[in-house]
Amino acid sequence: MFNILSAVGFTGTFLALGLSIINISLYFIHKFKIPYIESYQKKIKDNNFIFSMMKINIYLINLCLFIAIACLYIAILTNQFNISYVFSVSSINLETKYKWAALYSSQEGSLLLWAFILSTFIHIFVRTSLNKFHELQLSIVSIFSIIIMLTLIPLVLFTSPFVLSAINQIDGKGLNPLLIDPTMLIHPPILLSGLVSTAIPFSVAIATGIATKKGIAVTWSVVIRKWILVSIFLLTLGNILGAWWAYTVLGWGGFWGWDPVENSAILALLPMIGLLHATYLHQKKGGFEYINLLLGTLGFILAIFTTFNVRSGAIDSVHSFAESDIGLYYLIFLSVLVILSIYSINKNDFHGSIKITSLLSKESAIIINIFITTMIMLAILSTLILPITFEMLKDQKIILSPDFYNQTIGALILILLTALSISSSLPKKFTSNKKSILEVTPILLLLSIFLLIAIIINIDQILIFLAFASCIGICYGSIISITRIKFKKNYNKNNLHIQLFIRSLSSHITHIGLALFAIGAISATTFQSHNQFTIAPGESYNIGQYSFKYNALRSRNPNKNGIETEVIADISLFKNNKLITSLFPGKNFFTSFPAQPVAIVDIDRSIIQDTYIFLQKWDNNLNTQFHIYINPFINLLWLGGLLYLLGTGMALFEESVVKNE
Amino acid sequence: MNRVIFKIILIFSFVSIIGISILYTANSSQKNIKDGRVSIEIKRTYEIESQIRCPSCGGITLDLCELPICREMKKVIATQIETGLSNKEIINFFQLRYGDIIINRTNKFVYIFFISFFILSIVPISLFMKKNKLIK
Repeated sequence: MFNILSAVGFTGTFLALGLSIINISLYFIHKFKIPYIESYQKKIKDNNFIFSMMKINIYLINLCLFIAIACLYIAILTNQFNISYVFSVSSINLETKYKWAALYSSQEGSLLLWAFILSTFIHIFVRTSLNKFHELQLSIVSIFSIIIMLTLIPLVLFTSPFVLSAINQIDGKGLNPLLIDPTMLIHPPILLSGLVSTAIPFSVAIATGIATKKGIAVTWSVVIRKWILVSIFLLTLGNILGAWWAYTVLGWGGFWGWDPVENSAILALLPMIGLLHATYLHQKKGGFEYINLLLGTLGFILAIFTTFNVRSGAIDSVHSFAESDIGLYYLIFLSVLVILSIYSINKNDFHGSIKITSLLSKESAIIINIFITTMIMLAILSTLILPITFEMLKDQKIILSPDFYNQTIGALILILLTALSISSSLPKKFTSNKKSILEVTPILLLLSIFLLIAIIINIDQILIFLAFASCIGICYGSIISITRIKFKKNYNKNNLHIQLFIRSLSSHITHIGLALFAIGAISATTFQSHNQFTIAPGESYNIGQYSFKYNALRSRNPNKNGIETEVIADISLFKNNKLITSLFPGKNFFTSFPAQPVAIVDIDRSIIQDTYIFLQKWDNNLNTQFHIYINPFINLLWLGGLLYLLGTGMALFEESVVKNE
Repeated sequence: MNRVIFKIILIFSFVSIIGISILYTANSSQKNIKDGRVSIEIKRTYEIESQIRCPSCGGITLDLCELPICREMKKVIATQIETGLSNKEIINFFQLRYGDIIINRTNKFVYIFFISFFILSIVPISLFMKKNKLIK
């Protein structure tokens, strides 16, 4: 059996691997003297031949992987089920738009997409930013090549998506039912892009660390600030889309379940946020070389750790791929990165030191926040390592309950919010302790008021009230700081001024977004109400001022996307006996996945609350069980997320447009 | 009044009032809709179901899982409530049958383990900070 797309696709990945190995060899030829070819080595070094070759190879790797992924996508689009991967993830009646999701719905395809996105980012970086690192260019490209090689080895050797099936299949098994949702067309590629983008700071940090000249390019993080922002933007967007998907598809009324894979997905984001703030301090005050190197390398290490978690089957999660041997390979990959990181951080001896004027200055507040962010990252990391360690040491499986997360990571997040609320109102330029105390007084007043309210109303929720007060404090501090930004009329003559203006504004918008996000998250989790009831068609169920009238249960056969039957309940929602809306929760049953029905959730949205309805089950008499969740202010979470992205986007705009002018 | 102080008071009041309103509304919306028309037995069933995890799925509690094993477990819970067993006795019954993994509560030992790991991880950070001359 022969398939041209399979042959071309596999050749593409194989060539890309070969080119990455050639690049690494070229670096060694340039770096070390090899007997017998020394004169030739000198000649090609002088002509800058090696560097040009390595650059061309990077472009060619990207081209090869583009061809490979295009072949796989065409094979899915044209239903070539004699390719095993296409058979396992697609089917004839799968809508064309979901064939895109089929491309990355399983291990092999998602690894290919990972490799392609990685090579694309590297290609763009080499074209646009590499020339800023004079002496380090060769080292950076060689580290890129090592990462590409390590990514491509499993694709070529053990998990190729181009393997042909022994039998010629007429139809495929179909797409995983959980992926048949519009959010899934963008959430996985964006999250993958975010994780992959951390390879840029990693490579530059490693190259800086192992640079032979001491103190060379210590400002690396400033130069690649744009790339740090890209990582933050993509990882935030990917996580928000993931939360949106969980909320609208999984049917449990929440957006974040402290699932190990969800936790892994935010792991890489935290060091990037820390790095951005450390870079700001480095620009202002100098120093921070070690912290920058550590945070810069941690992002990608944690991204690979996430990949290991998702792909090894070491943890139980709704998001993980099936258990496979690739886990061991990723453990080796991870070890290589950790060794490289430790080596590069310890090799150089930076002499930068930081002078902090006062504990009440903006700089010290940022340092404290970086420290707390790192603590949160470590706490999340330990919750991921704990179950595996427990199983290894005590041969006992443990599952961490939501209470555990709330009491540990929740407590750290509360500390972060409180620290951020105080730091957001501190003046940008420190003048005196007295002035700083005066600026912080409203925040302290706000915290005291909310503590007092908590003592009067409900002492049990004192921490929730404190978190609320902190979020409001962040909004207050950020608004005050925005009103202080001065915008000179001659801004068009002074690019630096407009750059600083956008930078300040974007940071405050991001912080307001974070505060709103936290308010939405706290409201929707702490004050959520859940009702579960069983009623027959024609009956109503009352919850407070709301009445749910169950009109009918209908079923139909949509004959697309592998859905065998779609069952929909017709519900009329009344408030104070007045019809507000009709809701249609239901369930989809799939031909190829009979044990995996997927919920159709319906939500009545408003600014104040979401009324979320989920159909659980029904019996022969159509007595149907529903779950109703009332989520107050959950839409502030999405609004906050958008503001956060807007702020990060503005900072990116300032980096890429204003500087270029 | 000084213009700057007026601006600060205005923003402070505006932000505080909005914050308190959100907190009050969220808090009261929860109280208003907790009085569903549900019998004590059914409430107890839901309560127990939310404290027990599905033995197959790992992360999902019984009330949200529809696997055959969970349906059977729910039937057993309903029968045990009818026979007069307390919530604790019912949960203990499932704990004995399936082990501690089934309980939707984290073992106290895990907390100790977590805190130890956490404290130990602070050491390398502190060393880095010292190397970076952030602390002396």
